[in-house]
Amino acid sequence: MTTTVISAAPTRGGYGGVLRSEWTKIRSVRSTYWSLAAAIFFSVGFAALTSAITAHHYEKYSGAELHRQVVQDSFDAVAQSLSGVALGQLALGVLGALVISSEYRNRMIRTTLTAVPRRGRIMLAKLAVFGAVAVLVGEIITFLSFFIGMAFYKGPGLNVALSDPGVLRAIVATGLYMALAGVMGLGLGLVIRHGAGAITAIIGFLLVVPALASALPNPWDDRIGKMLPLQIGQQAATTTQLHDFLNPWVGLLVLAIYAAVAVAVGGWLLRTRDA
Amino acid sequence: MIEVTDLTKRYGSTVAVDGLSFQVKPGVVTGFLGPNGAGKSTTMRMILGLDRPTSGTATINGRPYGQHSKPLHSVGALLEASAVHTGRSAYNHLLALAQTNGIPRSRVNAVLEQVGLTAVAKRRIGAFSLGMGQRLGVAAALLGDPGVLMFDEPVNGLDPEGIVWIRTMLKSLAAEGRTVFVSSHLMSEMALTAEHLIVIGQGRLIADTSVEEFVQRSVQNHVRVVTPDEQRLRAALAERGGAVSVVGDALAVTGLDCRQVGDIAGAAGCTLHELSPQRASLEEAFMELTKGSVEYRGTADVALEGAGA
Repeated sequence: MTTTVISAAPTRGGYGGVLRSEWTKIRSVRSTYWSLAAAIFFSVGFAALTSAITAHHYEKYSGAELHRQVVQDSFDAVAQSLSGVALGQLALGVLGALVISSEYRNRMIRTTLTAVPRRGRIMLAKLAVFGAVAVLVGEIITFLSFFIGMAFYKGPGLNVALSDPGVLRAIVATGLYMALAGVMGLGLGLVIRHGAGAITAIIGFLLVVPALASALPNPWDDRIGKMLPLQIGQQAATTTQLHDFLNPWVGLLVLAIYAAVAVAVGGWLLRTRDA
Repeated sequence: MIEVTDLTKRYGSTVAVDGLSFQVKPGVVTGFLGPNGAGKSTTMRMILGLDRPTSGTATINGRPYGQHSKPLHSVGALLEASAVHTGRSAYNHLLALAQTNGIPRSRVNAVLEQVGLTAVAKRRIGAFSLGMGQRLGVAAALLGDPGVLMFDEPVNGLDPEGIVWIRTMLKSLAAEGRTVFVSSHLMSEMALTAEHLIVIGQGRLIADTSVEEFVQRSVQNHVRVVTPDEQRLRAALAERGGAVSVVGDALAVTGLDCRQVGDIAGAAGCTLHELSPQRASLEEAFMELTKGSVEYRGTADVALEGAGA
């Protein structure tokens, strides 16, 4: 063996080093790129499809009749253009769950925790790196969906501008909604550690629980439902707020609290459980 | 220096590690030996802070692993070479580890060079052979140029060339004054690599000794004698303090060496057809030592014991 001439002396490190490491990890596997690309493709694709169909439907009408139809349907061009959120939230939620569970599956987590025995640091670094990616991807999905949707709605003259009241807020809030779904997935991944279990849990949280709540007798369906992801997402996307439901930002705050609880429980378990 | 004191790990009612205490000193390769399921990996995981002991402590250079803020500079470990993301390149895998401890990129290239993986550094780890994967694990352990190194079953599944490479590397790391702690379930491998041995069975310490002493103490030497004058020779040997038992058509003598048995036979006027020293192999010695502590025993053991006698 040759004698080492290159020093291993630390140049940097600490929390910044752990962040850099997590960034290296997420950018250095191909699955990150194709799963994010798939999330964008399917969400934007679905949104484009529904926008195209809706726009085609309204092209039959014009003038006063179009106006009457739009009011009757309580049509919201922005919310309609963002319908891909249903798929986008699932894609990011599943991805969040996989960010953690894949490290457990291949036992890379042991290598990681040997390098960084302070487990809270690892958790925060993963949260920061994945959270930033999720916000970016969520916003890419909503902005793309919006512009594509407006291109379709231009035909029947139903398009709105980014500068119109509430439009930018709806787009940004819906992107954040999907990112929070991703963080929730990450938290559930930390708690459950197994890919299949974590994915089941995030799908249950995003789709099954709201569906069950909507089956409750009135008025409990709305009272409970407004606190759940589905309604919070719809409120984020709408520009014509529904009175009985949460304000978009309050909704996001509620979702953020759910995600924070999941991440906090996951972080506590990470610190106490054997790796 | 690794120090383990009263280390115990229970999983429900199963005791994986049971009041283990030992020290691993720098400058020599210390073998950590035990049958499968003896608690070697569990002990190593506790030393590395991955698993929490039920009771007792494990420290490296006087501090628990979790209290080292940049542990790769003091401890390098290869627990499972397969514990990697197979989609990542060798370079990026090492880079991600290096960044956590502020180790410069130049060092990543240096360890890749050291283990001979420079040419395949940008390739996916999934495309690596078992031996290349093991080399990558060694590279990761060497990243921080640590004074303490731990390897869990490093030669498992390697071809002869790979085994020799690992063996040579372990010895040279120890020769540089580092603490080198290597687990194995193969006594023969440890006899070639290690100078000191810590032997455990069912989570308990069985021996903490130099390899030389272990071999001396545990290898049952006896002298095999074949003679037509069995009764007379037995009496003569017994008179001089030899213990004699009959094995097939031969006598097995312990307590006397070949020369003494020959002299006694000559003096007693006994004809000898065979006089040979018998040494049990190291594997047999190891099996003898850990006989009571093997978790799962195959029926083939019975046949082996008969053949080895």
